[in-house]
Amino acid sequence: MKVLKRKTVALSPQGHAHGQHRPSAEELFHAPGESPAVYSITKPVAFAQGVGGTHFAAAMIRCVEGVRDWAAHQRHLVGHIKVFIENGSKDHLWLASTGKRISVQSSPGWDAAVSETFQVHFTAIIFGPGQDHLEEIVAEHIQRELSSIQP
Amino acid sequence: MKLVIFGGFLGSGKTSLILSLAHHLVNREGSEKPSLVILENEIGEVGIDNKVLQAGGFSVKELFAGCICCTLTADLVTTLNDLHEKIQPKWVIFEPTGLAYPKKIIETVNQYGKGIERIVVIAVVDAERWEELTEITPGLIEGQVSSGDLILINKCDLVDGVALQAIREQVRAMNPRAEILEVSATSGIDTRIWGKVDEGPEA
Repeated sequence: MKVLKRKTVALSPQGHAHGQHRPSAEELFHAPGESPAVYSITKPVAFAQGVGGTHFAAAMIRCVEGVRDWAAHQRHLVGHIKVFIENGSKDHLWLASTGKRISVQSSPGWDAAVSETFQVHFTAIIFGPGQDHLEEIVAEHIQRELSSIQP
Repeated sequence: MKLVIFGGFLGSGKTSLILSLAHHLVNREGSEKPSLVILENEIGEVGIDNKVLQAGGFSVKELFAGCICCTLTADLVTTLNDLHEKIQPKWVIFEPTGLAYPKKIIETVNQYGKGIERIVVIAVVDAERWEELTEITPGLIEGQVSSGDLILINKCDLVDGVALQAIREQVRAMNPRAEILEVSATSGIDTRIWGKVDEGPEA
């Protein structure tokens, strides 16, 4: 296996931020400089007309790909990127990546379902970027791909 | 009440393996569902794994209060003792965050937990990222592996035989006492592996 070399990451200025689930690098790794940035949201999405499950899934896969590829380009370590999506009929889609493949699983009814409303739960834990930068990048990818969906 | 703790780094496959174990426990009991509660501690404001497990039909409680390194063990003990007093489940499966050291959790539960007849720690290793993670976070990976009673090298289908053997040897060096098995959660788990959970050490 190839050994990857990564740049040293500056310790988050927030350090041990108890209320935000961001313990210090020393507590996590016994090695300074490796505190993850965390982006974690629930985003309700509504369309004027119904959107098919496969169509919505394709957009979310592109979104995870975009964040994953950005992290790779920046030589950041992906802790994980996980997305759980529910449609209006409670079918669900689950995406997960550790920076390599993207695992896609869904409930049996997801592909055939057409829904006007979705709940997108998105968490990205990435070592390297600043918290604000990660939030900006991921929010941008989510918005771009949701905007690309044409019912 | 038997407690199964799944340790392992972010993305190692803990949630998929917990789904498999939970299904096994349900199926083993036939029509009589076992009393099973899954406790989840996740990083971030929004839980994802708890939704995946709930979608699988299981009872899940979230431990979101505080951060993983400070108050979690206190919240965990409070929750475990509450479960013991009110529900008395036969099994409790706990998934800490991928950044947690199981040893700290075990020490606290052993000291303050009530009604726990057995604790089994399953350490999940990500074969695909082993070399990368042991280079970047060696202390955490060793801390997680060394706490396991059973070590599951997951995603073994994604690395070749030579790499897998090297991983096995390094894991063995970190934890000489544990049983080490190679699995692929996406390809299905041999139910005999879950039978070993019943053979764990007494608390």
